[in-house]
Amino acid sequence: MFIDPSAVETARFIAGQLAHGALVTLQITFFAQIVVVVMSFVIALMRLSPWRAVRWVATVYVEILRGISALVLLFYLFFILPLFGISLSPMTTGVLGLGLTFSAYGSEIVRSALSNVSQGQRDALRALDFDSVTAFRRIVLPQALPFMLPPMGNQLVELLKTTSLVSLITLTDLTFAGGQLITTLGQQTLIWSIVLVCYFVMAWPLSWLVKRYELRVTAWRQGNTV
Amino acid sequence: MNFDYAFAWSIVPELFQGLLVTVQVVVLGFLLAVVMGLVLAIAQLSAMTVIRRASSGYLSFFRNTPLMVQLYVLFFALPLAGITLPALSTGVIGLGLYYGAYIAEAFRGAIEGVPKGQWEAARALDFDSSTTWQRIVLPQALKPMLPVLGNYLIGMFKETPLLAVITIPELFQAAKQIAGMTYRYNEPYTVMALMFLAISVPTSLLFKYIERRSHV
Amino acid sequence: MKGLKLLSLSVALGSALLLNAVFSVSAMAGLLEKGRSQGLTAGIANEQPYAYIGTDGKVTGANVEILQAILAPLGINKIETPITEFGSLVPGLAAGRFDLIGAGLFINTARCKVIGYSNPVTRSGGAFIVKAGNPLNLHSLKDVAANGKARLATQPGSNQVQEAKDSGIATGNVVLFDKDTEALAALEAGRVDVVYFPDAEIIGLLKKANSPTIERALPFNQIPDAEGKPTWNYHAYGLPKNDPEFTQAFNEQLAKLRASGELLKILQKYGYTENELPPADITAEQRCNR
Repeated sequence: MFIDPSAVETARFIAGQLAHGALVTLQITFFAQIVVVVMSFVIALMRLSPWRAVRWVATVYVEILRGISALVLLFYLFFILPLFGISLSPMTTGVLGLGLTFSAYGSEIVRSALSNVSQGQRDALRALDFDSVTAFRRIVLPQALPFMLPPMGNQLVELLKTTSLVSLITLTDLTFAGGQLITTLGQQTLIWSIVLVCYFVMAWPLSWLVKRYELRVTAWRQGNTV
Repeated sequence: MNFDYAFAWSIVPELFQGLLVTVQVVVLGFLLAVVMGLVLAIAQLSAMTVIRRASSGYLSFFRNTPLMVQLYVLFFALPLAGITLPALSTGVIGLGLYYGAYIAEAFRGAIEGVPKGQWEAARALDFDSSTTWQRIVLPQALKPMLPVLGNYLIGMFKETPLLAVITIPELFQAAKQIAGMTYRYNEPYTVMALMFLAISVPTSLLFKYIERRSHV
Repeated sequence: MKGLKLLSLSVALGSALLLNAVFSVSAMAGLLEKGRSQGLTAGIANEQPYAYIGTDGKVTGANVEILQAILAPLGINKIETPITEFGSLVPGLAAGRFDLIGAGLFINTARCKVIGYSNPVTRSGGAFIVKAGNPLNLHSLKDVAANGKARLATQPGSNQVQEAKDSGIATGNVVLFDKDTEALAALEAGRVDVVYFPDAEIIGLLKKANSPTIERALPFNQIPDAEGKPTWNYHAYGLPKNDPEFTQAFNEQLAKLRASGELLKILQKYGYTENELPPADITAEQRCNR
C-alpha cells in the first residue's frame, strides 16, 4: 500500500508548524515559571513581614491579580501599556502576564507552607541564635519545601495549559499554530485533536511526577515506608 | 494616554449586557460541573474497575489539556460529526465538563474524609446504598467542600473571556468589540477589569464569611 | 546553594527581559532607511486572497506580491510577515509592533485617526455567502435587517461590523468570528444564515471551500449612498502616521506600478478585474475625510 506523497508533505507541514508552536509554548512556560517562583517568594515573604504597610501592598497585589484573569492582564499589558509608551514584545508580555497572575496563587502556596513550619522549630532557631538568612535557608525552607512542591507542581501544569491564551495576543504558540493550520488546510477535527494530544503529552508527565512526589511525601508523613 | 470618563460611562450599558451573559453561563456551567464532579467522584470510588478506569481517563484528559482547545473542538469539530449546539450551550457544556474534572477530585477527597465509622454505622443500621450516600455521607462531605467550590466558581467566572473565541457575547467580547470599533482601548478594558473585580472580590469575601460561620 | 543560584539566574533573566522591553520603546526610525538596512515587518491576517500562507508554507497573496513590487525599487527586499488576528492589525501598527499592515484593510475614518494609509490599491463592494438556493432570499444588508431573525457573520474590528450596524441589523444578530474561515464553517453548521465580507475575500473563501452546499448571493445590492448610488470601500496598506517620507515614496511607487499595468496583472492572478481598480486620482486623505 503506497502512502500518497502529498499526504506525507502535508503531514510534514503540520508537524513542522506544530513543533514550532510547541517549542514556543515550552519557552513561555519556562520563563513564566521563573517569574512565578521569584515573585511567589517575594510576595509570600512580604505577607509574613512584621510591617503592616509591606503586608498591605502584598495583599493588594494578590487580590487584584487573583480577581482579574490571566487573559485580562495579558490584554492590558498588550494593548494598553503601549499607550503609556511602554511597548513590550509579545513574548515579554506573555511571560509577564502569565508569570504575575500565577505568582498571586503561588505566593499563597508558599506563604501557607512557610507558616506551617512548626512554632517549635522557630523557637529552637531563636534559642540557638541562628541569623535570619541561615535560619531560612537551612531549617525553614527545607521543611516547607515538601508542602510547597505538589501544589506548585500542579500550578506549573496549569501554567503550561494557560499558555494557550497567548495565542490571543498573537504569539505563535501551539494553539495559534493549530488555528493558522486550520485556516490554511481546513481539517478542524484532525488538527485540534493533534493539538490536544500535544498538550496532553506535555502536561501529563508533569502531572504524573507531581502525583508521585506527593505520594512519597505523604507516605513519610503517615509513617509508611516507600 | 488620557482616560475619557464620559466615554467610559457611555459604554457601561453595553458592557453590562456582556456581564449578564457571563453570569448566566457561569451559573449554568457551575451547576453542570458540580453534577459532573459528583458523578465522577462516585465513579472513582466504584467497585467496578471498568467504571474506575473510564472516569480516571476522563479526569486525566480534561485536566491535562487546555480549556480553550476543548472549546474549539466542541464548537468547530462537533458540527462535522453532525452535532451543532448553539454557542451558549457549547460554552456551558465546555465549562461544565472541564471544571467537573477538577471538582471531582475535590469531592473525592471530601468523601474520603468522611470517617470510616460513619460507613460502618450505616451498614450496621442496615441502610441501603442510596440512603447511605444521600443522608449520611454526602451531607458530611459537602461542608468542607464549600470553600473549594467557591474557588472554582470564581475561577470559572474569570475564565469566561475564553468563551469569546466561540462567539459567546460575554463581557470580554463586548469590551473587545468596542475597542475594535472605536480604537480606544483604555476605557473598555479598564471598565471590564473593574466589573470583573466587582464580582470576584465580593464573591470571594462571601465564601470566606460562609467558611468562618460554618466553623462556629 | 541551589536557591541562590536560581535567584541570581532569574534576576539576570529578568533584567535581560527588562532591557529588551526598554529598547523596544525606541522611536521609529525612518522606514526607508530601516527597510534598506534591516528589512520591514508587515502584519498580515492569513486571509485569502490578500496575504496568506499557502499549502506549501510560504506567504503569498495579492497584497504580498504588490507590496514586494512596490518596495523592491526602493531598495527594500526583506519583508517579514508576522501573522496576527485581523482585529489586532490596527492596534498593532499603532503600537509599533510591525512597520506596516500588509493585509487587506479598508480605509475608514476611525482607523485614519490611529494609523496612516497608502493611497487606495483596490476598491471592492461587499458580498454574501448563503446556503445554496439562498433560502432566506438575502440580497443586501437591508434584507438581513428586515428579516429580524437572520444572523450575519463577520469579523470583529472590520468595517463590515459598522456597516451591519448602520443598516439596522440588531447587534444580537451579528455574530463575530476572528477568522473568516470560522465564519464560513459556522454557516455550514447552520449557526448563522449569511457570511458578509468584501467580495474578493468571499471569492477566495468559496474557492477554498469548494462546497455545493453554499453559494454567493447574487445579485447583491451594495450599500447605497445619499443619492442611492452604490458605494465602494477602498483597500490600502496601513502605514505609520508619522513617516511622511516613507508614505510619499510608497505612493509614488504605487502610482508607477499602476501606470505600467503591472498592478492589474498581479491582481488578475488572484481573481480581481479592472472593475476593482479605484479611480486613478483618489487619495487616502480623501477617503479619510469623507
